Amino acid sequence: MNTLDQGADDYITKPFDFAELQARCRAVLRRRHAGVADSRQHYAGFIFDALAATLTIGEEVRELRARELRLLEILLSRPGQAYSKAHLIDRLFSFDEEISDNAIEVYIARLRRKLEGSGARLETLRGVGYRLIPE
Amino acid sequence: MRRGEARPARFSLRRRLVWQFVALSALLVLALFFAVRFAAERASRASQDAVLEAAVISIGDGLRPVDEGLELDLPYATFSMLGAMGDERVFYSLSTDERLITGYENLPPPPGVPGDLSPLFWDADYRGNRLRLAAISRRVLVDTRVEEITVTLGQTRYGQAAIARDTARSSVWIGLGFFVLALPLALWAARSVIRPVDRLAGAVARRGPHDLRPVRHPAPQELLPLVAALNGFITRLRGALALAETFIFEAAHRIRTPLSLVRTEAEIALAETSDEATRQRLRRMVRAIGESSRSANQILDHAMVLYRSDQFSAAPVDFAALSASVLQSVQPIAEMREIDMRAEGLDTACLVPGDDRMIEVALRNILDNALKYSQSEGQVRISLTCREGMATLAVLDEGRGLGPGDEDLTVRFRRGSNVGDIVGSGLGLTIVNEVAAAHGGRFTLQSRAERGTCAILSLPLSDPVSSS
Repeated sequence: MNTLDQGADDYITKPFDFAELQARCRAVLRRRHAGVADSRQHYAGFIFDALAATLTIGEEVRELRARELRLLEILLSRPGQAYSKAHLIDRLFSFDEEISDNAIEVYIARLRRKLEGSGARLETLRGVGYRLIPE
Repeated sequence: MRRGEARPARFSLRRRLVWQFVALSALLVLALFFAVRFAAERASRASQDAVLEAAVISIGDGLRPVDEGLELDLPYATFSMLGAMGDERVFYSLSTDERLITGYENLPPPPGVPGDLSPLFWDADYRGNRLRLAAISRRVLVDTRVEEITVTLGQTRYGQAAIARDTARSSVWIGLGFFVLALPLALWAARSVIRPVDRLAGAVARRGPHDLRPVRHPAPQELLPLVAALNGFITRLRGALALAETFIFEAAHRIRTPLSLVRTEAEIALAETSDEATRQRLRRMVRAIGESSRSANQILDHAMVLYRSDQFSAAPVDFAALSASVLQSVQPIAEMREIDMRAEGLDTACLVPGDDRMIEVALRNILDNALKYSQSEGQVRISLTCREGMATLAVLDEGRGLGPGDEDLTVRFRRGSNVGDIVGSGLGLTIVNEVAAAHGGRFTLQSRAERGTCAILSLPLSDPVSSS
């Protein structure tokens, strides 16, 4: 509490959920520097703005929902690298939620739809996981 | 505010003192009455005896032997002396051992042998009168024989009894007067004895809930052990409070540090293994750790709320701004699960008198609850209204609602019947309820008609005029 008074933006008590920490950091960043150039990332034919939660393809701006955004963020951190379902679940969901492995497929499908026409696609590697590759 | 109610007093010192004084003075008045009556009777008897003695001796002295007989020179002065005692009747007799010489017949005989110089006195009944009798015996030479002649003189006691009655009656009035005087004196004495006790009790009762200083109020000597015991108790209480507070914070800290270590280890292990069974186990482990630390936090919050309700001091709190800030702090958690949180009524200030830390803890618990029981991509609606003297915050979720028989989830450690796999300590709503109670407000939790739960926290507004 005292730290907040001294100018901290937010706090989290240990032991913390890593996903929650990320979410909090993003919230603080968004409040402070909304729309700065640094948060943009170019890949294939799209521009991904993590803070604005948008995907820009040509003139079209597509809004990303929280989990689509985080999924894309993870996949974009090392494009071409395959991520297992389990790993994605750990990063995407809070541990408090009881999640089945299939839950991730919903978000993969949604992100695929958002990425249509972007020059990149989400590839399913049977038995391994998913990866982001240019078309 | 909780304040220990003293058990009803078994007795009052003041009343006890008054009763004792009153009983004592009644006893003294009674003793006075009997003493006066006894003394008056003795005095009247002594004066009668003195007259009788003089009379009987003078009759005895009036006996003179003459030729062939006895002559009695009755001294009339003696009888007038007897008459002076009041309206009394006098009986006399002169007799030898065998016969009556003159006077009244059958006067009661003396209980012993009357003396020659000092008469014998006794009481007896004669012809329906109570008599005081005196007898004296004289040896007189009659016809060359020495005869033993007994002179008996008796007098009724009507006048004496009347005097004794009068004296007794006036002693009754004097006694009653004393008694009437003693009553206010008893009240005054009891009050002045009790006054220092009252003052001390008042000084202790006036102390605020925060005041844990030793009692320094001047006290009578007899109360010093009590004051010393009270001060000892206050010192120990202060120590215990400080210890409890330190202990709770220390314990929470000590628990959280190793928990975070274990959690990090488990998360690393989770990232490194692909075996599904192991992963499930590790996930359960991380969840349990999360729950333990949340419980530690809630116990801490609960202790804080209890401590602060005990020492409640209200300051104006902007309920709207506080709600907005708590909402912002839980927003990232909502985002993670794509829960849409929307609020209305948080832009205009809404002042309630209260403790901001307590209200904040209550708000965080309500919102945490709403998020916890909401499904991914669900909605949580928050609305604040300030009217009719109450600030009412309603939080509506689309979760599973309440199970049957879950009317009172504000009881400590009680959780809903339909919580399923959702972890929780059962303390959250207890905390909210205690905060509401400390502020004179209300907290209710109901199932919504469609689906989900509606949590309502109402707190009284500072100023009813500004509530519209």
